[in-house]
Amino acid sequence: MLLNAAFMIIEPALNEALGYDYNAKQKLAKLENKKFTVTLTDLKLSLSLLVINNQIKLMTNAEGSDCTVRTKFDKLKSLSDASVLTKLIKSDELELEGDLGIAQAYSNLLIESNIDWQEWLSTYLGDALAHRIASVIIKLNQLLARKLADIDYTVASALTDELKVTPDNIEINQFIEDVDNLHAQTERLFSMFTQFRKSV
Amino acid sequence: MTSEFKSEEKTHFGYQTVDKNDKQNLVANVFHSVAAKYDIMNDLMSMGIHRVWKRFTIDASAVRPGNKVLDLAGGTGDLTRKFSEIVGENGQVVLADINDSMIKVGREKLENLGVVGNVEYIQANAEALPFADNTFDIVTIAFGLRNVTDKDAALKSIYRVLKPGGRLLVLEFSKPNQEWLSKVYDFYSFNILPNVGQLIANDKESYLYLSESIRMHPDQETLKTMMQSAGFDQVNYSNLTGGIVALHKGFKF
Ligand SMILES: C[S@@+](CC[C@H](N)C(=O)[O-])C[C@H]1O[C@@H](n2cnc3c(N)ncnc32)[C@H](O)[C@@H]1O
Repeated sequence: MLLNAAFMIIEPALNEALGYDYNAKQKLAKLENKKFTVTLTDLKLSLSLLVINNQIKLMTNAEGSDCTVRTKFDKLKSLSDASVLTKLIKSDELELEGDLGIAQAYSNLLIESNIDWQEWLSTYLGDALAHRIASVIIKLNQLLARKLADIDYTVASALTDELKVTPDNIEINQFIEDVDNLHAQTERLFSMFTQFRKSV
Repeated sequence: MTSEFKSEEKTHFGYQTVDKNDKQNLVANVFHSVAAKYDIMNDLMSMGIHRVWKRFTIDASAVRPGNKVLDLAGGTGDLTRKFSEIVGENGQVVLADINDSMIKVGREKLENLGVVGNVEYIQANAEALPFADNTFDIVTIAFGLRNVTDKDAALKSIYRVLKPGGRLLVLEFSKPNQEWLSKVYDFYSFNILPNVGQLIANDKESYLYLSESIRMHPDQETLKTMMQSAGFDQVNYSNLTGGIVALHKGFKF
């Protein structure tokens, strides 16, 4: 209820701020009807973003989200450097679910826009709180970039590891030949065997 | 006619007990007389907070483009307007209300705001909705259920027109969960509100009725049980502004 009251002020202001970023329109179009959610489990708090008609809608209802980041506010607060981030991901204290491309697109829209978040938020929330929230947003963004890089890495390394054991063409042809030979030998053995039985 | 039978034909109109048929007319009169000033009064009465309650309702509806929504007892169309924006050209919003004066004011307002294309206006009684079974993804009834004479019939009728998987949201005045808040609120609604009604809308009676009808409306738990009896599943509610208002949600599966 309180959040919804806050959204009534923040939502139009956010859309206005994005209006000044001439790249935003294109980015918004890609996000049409895509819902992204950040859930802070310890605070029992969800914040979802959804683009409708090139406008960001803010909501607390995470239903039908296309991509969800789930973690504890506590953990976000303690984020200080990349190593903590990695630990967080490795220890499953941050879950990512759904289409990460959407998370990335939202982060592109919000972080790489020319909006100075801290400055912007401070007009609504006061300097201290704005600083906290801005740094959490930035950390989340880093985290996301990291996770995406991580996934890229996982896929890439899986592929190279796989390649190492993948047989090449010559090996495969050799194998087929071997099978053919074996097959012929068995046939021969089999006919010898039938002949032998007849003769006894 | 037995006396029991007679008493079944009676219902509440605010604190008065009246014949069931009369209630519908009396309610109609109230809304005919407040229609023109309805929006201003809403803002004044609730000090603007009704906007947050309505926003909370949209949030809880999880409405998405393409959905079909019924804004029942839609009045001057605050919810319809927000739904229309989100459901887009592939979706549809039906504003249904029993009172043609309210519909007229609502329709004019929305058309002036450019809300056209995916909105339909239908005069209908919540107790017997003129729609096919399984029509809507979402039905809302905001500050309307307490005016309905036969609430159980209305809830059943809503259940019928919802699609399986669809949800009903009932936004309505309820019971404050703190004693002191109850007291402040009572004082406000019986001493201040009718006088503001007199001043702005020149209609003390109607606003006195509103306050009384709020008190006669079932509390949170009772409404929850009523929704369950009508067939709704996973019924729950959120208290807003200390329970002055509650949002009930239920699904049809
Ligand atoms: C207090 S207004 C609420 C309007 C709007 N939903 C809002 O929240 O601003 C209540 C509305 O309920 C309508 N109403 C009363 N009884 C009804 C019924 N049986 N069926 C449909 N609408 C009804 C009235 O005509 C009136 O427009």
